[in-house]
Amino acid sequence: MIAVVAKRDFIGFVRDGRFSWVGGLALVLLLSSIAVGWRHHSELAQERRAAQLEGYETWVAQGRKNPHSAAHLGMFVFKPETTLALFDPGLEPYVGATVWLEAHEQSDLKFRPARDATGLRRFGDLSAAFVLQMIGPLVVLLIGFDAFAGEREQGTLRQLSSLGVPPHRLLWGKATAVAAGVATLLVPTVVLLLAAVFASGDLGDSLARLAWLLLGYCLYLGTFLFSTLAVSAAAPNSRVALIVLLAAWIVATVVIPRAASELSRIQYPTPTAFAFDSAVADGLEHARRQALEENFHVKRSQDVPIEETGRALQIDDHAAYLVFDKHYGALWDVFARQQRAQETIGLLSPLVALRGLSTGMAGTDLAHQRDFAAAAERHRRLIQDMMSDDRIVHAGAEGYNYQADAELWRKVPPFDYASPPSGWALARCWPNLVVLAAGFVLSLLSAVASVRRLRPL
Amino acid sequence: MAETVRAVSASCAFWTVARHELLLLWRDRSLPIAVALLLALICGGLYNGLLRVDERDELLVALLREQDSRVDNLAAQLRTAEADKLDVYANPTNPSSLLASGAGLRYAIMPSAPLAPLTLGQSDLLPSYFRISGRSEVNFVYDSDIENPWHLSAGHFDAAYVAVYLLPLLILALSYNLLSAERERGTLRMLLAQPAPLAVVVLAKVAVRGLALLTPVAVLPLAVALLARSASDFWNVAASGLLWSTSACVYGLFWIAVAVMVNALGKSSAFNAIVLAGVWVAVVLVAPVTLSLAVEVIHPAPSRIEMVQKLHKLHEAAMRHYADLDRTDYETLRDPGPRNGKVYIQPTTLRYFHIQREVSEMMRPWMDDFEATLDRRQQFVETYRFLSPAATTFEAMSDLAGTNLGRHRHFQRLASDYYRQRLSYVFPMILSGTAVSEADLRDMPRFVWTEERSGHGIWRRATSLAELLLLTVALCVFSVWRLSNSTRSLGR
Repeated sequence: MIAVVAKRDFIGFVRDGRFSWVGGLALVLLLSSIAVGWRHHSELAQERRAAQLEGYETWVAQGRKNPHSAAHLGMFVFKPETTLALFDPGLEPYVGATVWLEAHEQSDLKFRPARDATGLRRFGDLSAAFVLQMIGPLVVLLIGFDAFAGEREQGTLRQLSSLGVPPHRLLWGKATAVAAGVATLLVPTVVLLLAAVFASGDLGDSLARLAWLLLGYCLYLGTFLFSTLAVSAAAPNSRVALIVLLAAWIVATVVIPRAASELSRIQYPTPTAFAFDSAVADGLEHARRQALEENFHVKRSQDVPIEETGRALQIDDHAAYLVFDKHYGALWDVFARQQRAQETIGLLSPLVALRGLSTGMAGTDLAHQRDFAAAAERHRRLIQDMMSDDRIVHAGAEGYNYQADAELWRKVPPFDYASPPSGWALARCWPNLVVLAAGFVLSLLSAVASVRRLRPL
Repeated sequence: MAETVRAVSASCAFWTVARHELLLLWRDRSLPIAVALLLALICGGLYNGLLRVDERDELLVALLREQDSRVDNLAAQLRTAEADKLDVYANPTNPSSLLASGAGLRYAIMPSAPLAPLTLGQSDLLPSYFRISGRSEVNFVYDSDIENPWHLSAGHFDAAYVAVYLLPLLILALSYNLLSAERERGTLRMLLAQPAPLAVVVLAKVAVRGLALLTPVAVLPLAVALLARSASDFWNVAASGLLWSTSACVYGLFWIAVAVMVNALGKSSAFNAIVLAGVWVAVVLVAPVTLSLAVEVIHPAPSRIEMVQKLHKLHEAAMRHYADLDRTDYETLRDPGPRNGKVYIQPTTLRYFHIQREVSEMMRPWMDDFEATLDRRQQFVETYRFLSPAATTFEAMSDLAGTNLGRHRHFQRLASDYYRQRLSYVFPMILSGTAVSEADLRDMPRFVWTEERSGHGIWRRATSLAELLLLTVALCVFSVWRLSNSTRSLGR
């Protein structure tokens, strides 16, 4: 019986053109965004790999010079793109993927791509994730809004009741029909993403991430599916069902995410670069002066004996590391608090939870950016320490005027960063998965409850 | 005579239907709810806009205060420099102090435009100040302020967002069943039996809705901008504000015209709702992001990776060019202040400024190419903006509020010029080791903000408004034609 109902409904919304138009448009957008994303991802990944290699070669070939001078040249490192970033670029366009590892300063991620974009960027980015998050629910509600209400208007619901079809079978049949419609969007997406994962050669972890992504999107679209059927069963007619569902879709996908973002910012204000830099500068000045006094009993760096300048530099660097850790840690914590506040307000919309999960599993969320920034800073410190160690050992009375050669530069290993495993990502975004699962269960229960009270007339 | 009678009866019918419609919408509470919701959203958007712009203005004031305090401090040190025993690294008479990242740091500041709270636009992505020191130009022009990327990706909740995204939804919610509901209730036949043409009836219906929804969008933001933001040039601000309100109204009229056109097709309310939701998705969500994607494919942004590679190589090459200066002269490290108008400049200091200047000059052609590519991308958007009335309206609003890319590009050019002026002033002093006096400090070039000539921008916005108005008129003409020719079929 379930299969019969599902088949009849599916043929119904395909024949009346709704599914062909809306689903077709969504599919075209989905496939084109994946194709463009794939091309962009391949080019970018290759370009970043090549640039990092070339940067390292420039570092090694820099010739004889003072190690500290070499540390000032430093090197640029790039965050490697995960394969699934082609599906959901997430925060990548708004963060930047380059860090300059230079002496004395912990650098931010530089060059946000969104800064180079036209004003249209404010409308969002056309990615496969955007299509599934925004248009996917619309497809669901446009093909499902009249599932029960339409039957009631046509009088066929009464006939079905008189034939003794149990309401819950009707519900499962109709849910299967809408789910089959949604599957026509999800299946090609998953197939293309599988192809991308296989092409990248990064199988194990990417497949696990893809599985979690798929689960998240199924729960998200499933929530809209059962909510749509619940409203359709409860509404007096299909017009009311459609209006209620469209209003809910707009509030959930357009209004709440933006409002939640603004409210979280009001609750936990982001420090300005001016305030942040001033606090770091004050902290550095105090820490450096204290380190100088404690270790060398002098107030000015130029009063340190020449043969001790290498050690003084290292002590100065280590004093600065603590200051950077404190201030950058606090900044990332503000971002994390803002995200949590956003997600709390966003309990009203499954989209907020889905975005957290989707960017987390695609490796394009804040946690992954923070992990990369921390790895880059560790590498910067490694370079600083190696340069200072060499100067401590070899400079002697030459101080700054001592020069090292390429052998030292070669000792610095290339920056090798790999994204954290899927388990690490899941440990950070499981609350989003729980929220999505809870939303799904609630929508399912509401659909069952609505169908139990179903009136054929 | 007959025509005059028809015109009078049409006019009477218009007012009768409008009065009746207002009464109906008021009694079923849909109009008061929609207007109250719109007012709440606009007030929320305006509050948020004012909050963000006030935060930014406070920051800019704090920057200037901090800069003035540093300059005064340096001037005081310069007054007593001869008498003090000086630290070579903090010698105020050393000309490098005028470009150093501590005392010599200067801010180039772009003030908020009076209408900025109405459309925050790209103000969070593009900085409103640059930190200009002796570091190469490429080190400051691409800086950004700190912001949570989630906020950058979500966008702003401001008056422009309400006007561009949400106003159409309220218009469509009140208008999707203008005629279809009458037909479904069976009252359309009665309406058609009246002497007035159906187009006049529809006009009266949409006039009530349009007036109720467009008045708050047109009046409230303009009033808040004029009252809450003090502007020296009141009339100029009022003119821009009026153009902002006109943009919102023309955009609103476009959506009313779309709703009328769909109603004129004579389908059911559910069909109308589906089609109008589809048009909203296409115009507001899909068209702008598709256009944005087309820009990325046809005119890709210049590679930042390439820039970074080039910068790194140039830096390394410049280090080689000035390798002979890579030494510390320990003998003179404890050198006191100026002697006979000259100070000793440490070789490492000299090398640093040489390197920064060389990198700056060598990067300039790349930066010019980069700017030219960005111009081509923006030109592409300007050419195809008609594909999305939402994008057209948003661009016009950002332009008028001074939160668009164009004003920022102008600011960036001014900042680059200022950087070069400072360098031309200080660099010869560094090369010759000339001791700096207080007069030198006071005579240093200052950053002066000047607005871009507004004529071109206003013309561009007026053109885009005219395009949108033309599209609206075309939709109206089609609807009137359709209503006049299918009165009988609509009544069935």
